[in-house]
Amino acid sequence: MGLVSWIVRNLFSRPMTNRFPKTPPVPVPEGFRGKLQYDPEKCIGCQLCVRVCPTQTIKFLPEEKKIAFWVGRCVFCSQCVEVCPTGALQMSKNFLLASDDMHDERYMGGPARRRGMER
Amino acid sequence: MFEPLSIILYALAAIVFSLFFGLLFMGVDRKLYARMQSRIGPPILQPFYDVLKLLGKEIVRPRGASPLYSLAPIFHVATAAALAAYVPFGLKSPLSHYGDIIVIIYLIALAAFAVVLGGAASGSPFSSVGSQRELVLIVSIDAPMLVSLLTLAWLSPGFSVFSLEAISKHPPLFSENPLVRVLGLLLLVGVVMWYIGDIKVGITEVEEAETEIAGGPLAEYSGPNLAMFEMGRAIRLFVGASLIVNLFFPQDLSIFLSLQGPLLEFGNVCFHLLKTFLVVFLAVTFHRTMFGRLKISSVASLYWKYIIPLTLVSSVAAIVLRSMGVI
Amino acid sequence: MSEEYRELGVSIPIGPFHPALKEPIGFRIWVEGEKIVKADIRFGHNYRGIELIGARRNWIQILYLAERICGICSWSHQFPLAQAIESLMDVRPPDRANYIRVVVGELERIHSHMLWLGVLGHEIGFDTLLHLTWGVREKVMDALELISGNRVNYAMATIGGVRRDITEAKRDILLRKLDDLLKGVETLRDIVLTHKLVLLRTEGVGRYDRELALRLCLQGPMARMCGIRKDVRQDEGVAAYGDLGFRAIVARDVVGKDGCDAYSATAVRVAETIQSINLVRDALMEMPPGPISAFPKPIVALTRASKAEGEAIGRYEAPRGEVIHYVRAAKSDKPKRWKVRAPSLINVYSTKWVFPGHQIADAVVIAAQPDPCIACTERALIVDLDRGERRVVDHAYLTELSRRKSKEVMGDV
Ligand code: SF4
Ligand code: SF4
Repeated sequence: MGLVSWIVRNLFSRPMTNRFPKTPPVPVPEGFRGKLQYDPEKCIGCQLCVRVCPTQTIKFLPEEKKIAFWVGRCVFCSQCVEVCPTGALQMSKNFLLASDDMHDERYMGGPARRRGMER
Repeated sequence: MFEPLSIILYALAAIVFSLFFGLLFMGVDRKLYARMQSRIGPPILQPFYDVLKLLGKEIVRPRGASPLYSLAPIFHVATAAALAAYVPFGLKSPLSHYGDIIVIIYLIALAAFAVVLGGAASGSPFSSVGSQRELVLIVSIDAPMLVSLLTLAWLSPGFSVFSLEAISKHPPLFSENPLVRVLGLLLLVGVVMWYIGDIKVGITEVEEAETEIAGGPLAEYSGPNLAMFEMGRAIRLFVGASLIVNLFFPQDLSIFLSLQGPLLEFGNVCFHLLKTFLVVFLAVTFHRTMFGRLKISSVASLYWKYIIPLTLVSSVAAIVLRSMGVI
Repeated sequence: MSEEYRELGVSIPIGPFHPALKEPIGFRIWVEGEKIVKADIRFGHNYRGIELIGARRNWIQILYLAERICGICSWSHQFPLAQAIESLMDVRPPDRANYIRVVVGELERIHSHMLWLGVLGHEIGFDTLLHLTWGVREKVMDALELISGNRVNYAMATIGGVRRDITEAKRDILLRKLDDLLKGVETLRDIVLTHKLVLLRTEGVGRYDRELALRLCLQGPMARMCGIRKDVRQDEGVAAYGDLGFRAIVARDVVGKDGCDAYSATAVRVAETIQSINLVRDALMEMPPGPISAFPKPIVALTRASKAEGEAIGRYEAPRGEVIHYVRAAKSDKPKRWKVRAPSLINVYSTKWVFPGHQIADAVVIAAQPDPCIACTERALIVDLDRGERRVVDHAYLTELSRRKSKEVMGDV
């Protein structure tokens, strides 16, 4: 197939662009690393996640023995999920995290949501 | 036949007409260009929005720019507007009685010179390189155009004046004589190459060359000044294609349909627009999708090594054949 | 600017910010008409102090910092770092991990080379090439997303292996995607290597010669376009490349001669893309079963690494050339020193020697030819060309510079 036939074919077919947000986003595959999800019930406060997180997203809350985090700093490396012994941390498929408010509820995780998280 | 006032009004209407369709064709060109690359592309009316928005912005003058900096855009758009009043668009052109085809050529070259001036006056290294390139381009493209036009005029039976109408009456591509048709084809190549060089797209986009010299002569322009250059470019895009149609495909609708009076005139304008659009599509959109930009040295050698000899050969052939009485 | 330069006449800045550049770097060229007579390159516009930040993080954490040195080759920095730490600890990753490492590394090479091809198209005003190439490239990005869960930062390497397995189901999808991709890339190869305009703009442009290439120690495709068969994958047999019988491609294998110019660079990169697709396919087919990491849990790896001592290097052939990561450990969970040598540092600087004699229009092709990755290049050392001194830039110096600049600007107002 040469260049001419390629561009003529493009002219008569739909563009590759997905018109997000007018259309739904392209589906993500299994194992996608999206927004961090935290289940405080399962957490035993072992602090392993705090230790490995490269961006220091996760803060330990000594009184509750739980963690809190602000997703704005997270780089979705999923390292915390991997070390967590109880599966309290999971990665969701949600990647629609853009907001013009850094205190957006979506960014907060953990029981004492806002405490010490806004830098 | 025409009163001066009505000529002026008619000329104004022609200018607005060319500007409108120039901008529209630019929008369609951008859309189709995008679609051929599998993109969505801008809205078709984007050039209109661009110009309107630019017109509303404040004027910024770079420090160290000479007074010509502000004059060049006005000069450019004025020449382009005069041009629009000279070239027929399916109807007789408003100023057809006040000049011949040489005027059109020089108006086009003047418009390009305005860009050179503006670039040289803005005092930025990118602009001055762009202006130099533009000059080289003008020198390269005007020669084949002049030769082609002279030959076209020479080919038309009543070789008296360089008038567009005289050439339009006997389009060489549709002559009975096969030799004339061949010559016409060669000349068409020359004129289309001139058109490509004049509006600077695809291989001849050397003068703005965004990735090399960041927009060339227009690098320092913004706001209303830039809007004027944009409008001028739109008019030149339309008028250049319109000129090609007039020279080579001047047939009107009467060959297909038997229309009368204003209906025929309206039909002719639409038909002319259609032909113009096809020229724009092939010479601009398709061409710039297929190719990128050449170096200025390659552009010059393309014109001087191939296009100019080609037009010269056809010109000499026309003269020889004519004097031998073959055509 | 020194006197010698000022006498040279008109100078044109290409950068630090310029439409041809995607990252800040300062090329300055001196011209006579359209001809370039001298060129100068300035680094330091994108310095982020990553090595210092790395020294404050533990062995697991810096893996993800390394990944972010470059915006394109995240694997090419994470992997050699993991390698370096492994050799510190004297650990060998299991075989399956080595094969997965090849898969990820080669997919990254495909996407990086295709990105470069698109950028070349853009630089020569051939935007159609850009859009078509990047359209095909989306398939690689999808493949990487499928394997790793993310398009650009794969977070795949870890100390002692890789973090995610490629299951049977994923392997089948991948193989199908690779077929599609191969078709697209082959079409592109046929178009690019014969397109008249590409030939006119690249042949003879940015011409090195073999001696110059050796003298300047060109890296990666830049060396291979000069016929120097040099590739860490081949010479060191890192990961599973040795098992897969990898042999580097040089320009004469593709176009019959070592042109040492931008055209050869294009040919080498396009051929490498196809070679990489085949490598990925082979690796997927021949992948042995078994564990994917030498350590059951990352935290175990971290504990073990904290006991290591000494120094080590990790080498890998990034899409742009050889990447070297050096680490020194002193029985701590943090590196004592971490040093990165990226190939672009050499390749970008080498362009200084080829600019003169070319036209302005060639400058962008020459600048793009090494596929400069500025983010990779920027390290703490600034070589001040005017005074010929070398100096490490520290915070105090930068503040001082910034203050001086502010004063200058204020003076103007
Ligand atoms: S995903 Fe990575 S960056 Fe985000 S919180 Fe977990 S360890 Fe930290
Ligand atoms: S690693 Fe898991 S269990 Fe431990 S503190 Fe973090 S979330 Fe809680």
